[in-house]
Amino acid sequence: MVRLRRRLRAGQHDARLRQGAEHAPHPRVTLFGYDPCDPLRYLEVRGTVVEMTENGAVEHLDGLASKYAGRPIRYFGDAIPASFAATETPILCRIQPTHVVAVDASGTKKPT
Amino acid sequence: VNSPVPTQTLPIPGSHLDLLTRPICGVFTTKSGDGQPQSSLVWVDIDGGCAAVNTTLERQKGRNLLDNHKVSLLVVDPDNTARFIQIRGDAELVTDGAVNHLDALTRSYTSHPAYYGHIYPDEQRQRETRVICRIHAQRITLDAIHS
Repeated sequence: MVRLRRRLRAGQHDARLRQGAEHAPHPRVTLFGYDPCDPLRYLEVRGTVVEMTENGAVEHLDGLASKYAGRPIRYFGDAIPASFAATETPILCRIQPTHVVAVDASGTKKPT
Repeated sequence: VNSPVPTQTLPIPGSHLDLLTRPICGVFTTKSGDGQPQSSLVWVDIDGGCAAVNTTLERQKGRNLLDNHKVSLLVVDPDNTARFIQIRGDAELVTDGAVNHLDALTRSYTSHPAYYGHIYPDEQRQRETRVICRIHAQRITLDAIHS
């Protein structure tokens, strides 16, 4: 579910990534997940991106696409048009959590 | 409250206005002074052509807003998660009418007539400063590229 899209020419990615996530200008992120059928049950993971890599990023993305589709698919070509692969470079970001909020207040405040 | 009023506000596309007028929870993201983003679920409506949420200056998001008025609001259609609106923009904080706004949100999102005394203890009213946060849209993104 974590993916960055970059509009850089091929070759620039490697240079940027080689600097490492620790040199990214804004490595602090938050990831928020909630149950759309029950928004009062949610999880927030705040943290720092400690690794950004192209290694395994496409496979990871295909795995995510398959999970969300409920069957084995590829991201480029199945989930979105294959032509996007020419202009996008998937990046796998690993987040080191620094603060986690997990809430389950379902049943207390139901929308009418 | 000390927030600049932006000169430019993008209009909300009519095709996605329903995501802000129906009682759908949004994900509201603010940033603290040290650059750490924080997200939370919020009730949303429209105020003066802007998406609006309601918070207090004492909560984390209120403290963040005083440090940094750049915010993001994401509202996903619960019936179709590929349909969403993301609004990035500048927060304008307004204290006038903030409790009335909160009560209107409470009536829209719950079966209760008012926030304090029903959703939240009445004595909290004196301990916190309610603000309407109007989001002056600088950039709007709609829907996922997949369907």
